[in-house]
Amino acid sequence: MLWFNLYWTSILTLACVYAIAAVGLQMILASGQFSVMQAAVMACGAYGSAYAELTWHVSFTVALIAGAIVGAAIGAVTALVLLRLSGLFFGIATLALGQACYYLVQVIPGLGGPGGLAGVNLSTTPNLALGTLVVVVVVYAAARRHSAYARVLAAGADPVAAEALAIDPWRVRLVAFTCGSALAGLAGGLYVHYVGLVQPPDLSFGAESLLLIYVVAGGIQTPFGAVLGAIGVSVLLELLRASDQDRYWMLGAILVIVTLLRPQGLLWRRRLRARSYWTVVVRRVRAATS
Amino acid sequence: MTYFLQQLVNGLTIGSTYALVAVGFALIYGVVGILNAAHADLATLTGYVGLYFAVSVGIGFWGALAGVLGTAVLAGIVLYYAIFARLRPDNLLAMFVATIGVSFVIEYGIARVKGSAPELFPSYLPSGSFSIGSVSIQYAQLIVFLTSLFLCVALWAGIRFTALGRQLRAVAASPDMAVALGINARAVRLLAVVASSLLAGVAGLLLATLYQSVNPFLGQTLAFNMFVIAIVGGVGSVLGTLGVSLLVGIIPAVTSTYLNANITATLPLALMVLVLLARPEGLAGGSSLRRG
Repeated sequence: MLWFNLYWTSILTLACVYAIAAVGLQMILASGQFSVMQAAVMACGAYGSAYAELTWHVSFTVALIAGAIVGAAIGAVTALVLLRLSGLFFGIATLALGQACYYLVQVIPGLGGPGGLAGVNLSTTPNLALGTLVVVVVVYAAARRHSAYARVLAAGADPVAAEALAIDPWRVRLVAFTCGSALAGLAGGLYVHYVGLVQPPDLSFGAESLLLIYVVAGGIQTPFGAVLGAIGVSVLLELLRASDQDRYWMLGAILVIVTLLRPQGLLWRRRLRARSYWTVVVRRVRAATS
Repeated sequence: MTYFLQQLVNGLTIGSTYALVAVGFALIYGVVGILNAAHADLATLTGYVGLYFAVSVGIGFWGALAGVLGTAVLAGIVLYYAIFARLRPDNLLAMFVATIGVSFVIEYGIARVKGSAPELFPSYLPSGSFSIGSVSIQYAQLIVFLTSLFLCVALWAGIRFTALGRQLRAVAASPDMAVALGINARAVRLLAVVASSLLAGVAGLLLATLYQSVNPFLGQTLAFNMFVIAIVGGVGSVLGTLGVSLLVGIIPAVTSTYLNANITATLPLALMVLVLLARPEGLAGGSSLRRG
C-alpha cells in the first residue's frame, strides 16, 4: 500500500519507525533519566536483528523480537550500572556509552566492521510500521492509566514524593529504562528490515540528536508528544525541501527556536489549569450583560 | 621507549588544548549551572574566523588573533542573551537541546558555506624542533602546551585570588545570597560565559595553527572529550579538569601503538565510567569551585 506516493511513503514509514524509538525515549526521560544513548540502542537492536536473521536465518518476527531483546538487555545493564548517577552526570555517561557502542560495533567480529551489516530481507511494510506504532502508543497510554506509569512519572517528577508513596524510585527507573530501550531495539529491527542496511554512523551523535529533537520538540510529558515530534519534524524537513547539505543547520535553527519558545515542548500538561485571559474576559462580559 | 615518550609528548600537547576547551565548559556549568553542548563548536568557529582574517583579509597572525578574540567575546554575549538568560537553570534538557541546535547551526552552517572538507591554515608557529635525549619536541607543540597551561593556571588563580573570582564563587555557591550581598549575579554569569568562550576561541586558533588545517566537524570530537574530561575531573575544578585533560590526551596517544584505533578511543570512556561508579561526582567532587 502507498501513502500519497512512493517518496512520501518512505518518509512517513521511517518517521513511524523513529516515532517508536522516540516513545521509548520519552518513557526514559519522563522517569527522570536524561538518556543520550537511545539512537545507539536502536542501532544495536538493528545490528542484533540483522545478525540473527543473517546468521541463524530466523523468521522476520523472531528477528524483530531479537532486536527488542538486544535493546532491553543493553537498557537493563546500563540502568543498573548507572543507578547512582543523576542529571548531567547520567546524561554524559550515557553519551559516552553510546559512543563506546559506536567504536565497539566496528571491532566486534561478525558485525561487518565499518561497512556494517547488509542483505537482510526488506520485510517491514509501511502498514506494519504504522500498526506497530499505534499498538505501542495504545498499550503505553493504557498503562499510563494504571499504577505502573503513574509510578514512573512520580519518580521522574520527584523521587522524594515517590518514596513518600512507598514507591521505589530506583525500580521505576530500571523498568522505564529497560522498556524504553526495548522499544528502541524493536524500532531498530523495523528500521534495518526497511532500509536493508545498518552501519556504524547510525550510532553516532547526529542520529542521537535527531531522536532527542523529536521528543523535546513534541514535549516530554506524553508519548503523543514524541509521536507528534517525530512525524512533524520529519515532514517539516521534507516540506522545506532541504537538501542534505541544508537539512541539519535548518534542524538546528528549528531546535533553538522551539526550545526557546516552548521550553516544555509543544504538548504538555498543565499541572494547575489557570484561567486564561479570554475566559476571564468572557465571564466578565457575561456578568455585566446578564 | 623512545616511541612511548614521543607519543607522551604528542598526547600532552593535544591534552592541553582539550583542557582549554574543557575548563571553560566546566566553569560555566559550575557558575551559570548550564550545559553548553555547543561550547566546543566555538573553537571550530574561531578557527574559521581566524582563517578568514589571516588569509582572506590578509592581516596576519595578530590580526587573526584579534578577530578570533572579538568573535569569541561576541559569541559568548550572543549565547548568553539569546539562550542562557532565557531558560530556567533547572531545565537541563531544554538547555542541552537548545545548545545542540546551536552546535548544528555552527557545524553544518560552516560546512554549507565553506564545504565540509578540511581547509589549509597558515602555520604561524616556528617550524623547527629540538631534542631531549631521543625525543624530539616541535617548538609549535611546546608553544601550544605552554600557552594552554598558562591560560588554565591564570584562570585558576583568577578564580582563587581576585575579587572578581570571589564574586564568581559566591554566585556559584549561593546565587540568592550573592545577590543579597550586592553582587550583580547576571553580570558575573555573563562574564563567566564570555571568559569560557574566549578560552574556547584561543583553543580553536591554537588547534588550527598546530595542525595547519580547520574542518567544520572538529567540534564533535572535541565536545566528546570535553564531556568526558569535565565529568571525570568533576565540574567546577579548574586544576582537576586540567589534569584529566592531559590524561585523556595521553591515553589514546600512548596506547595507539598496541591497540586498534577504535579500542583506544573507548579507553577514556572506560576510565570515565569507572570513575563515575566509584565517585559519582567526579574525582574532585562536585563542589570544589565553591570551596575554591
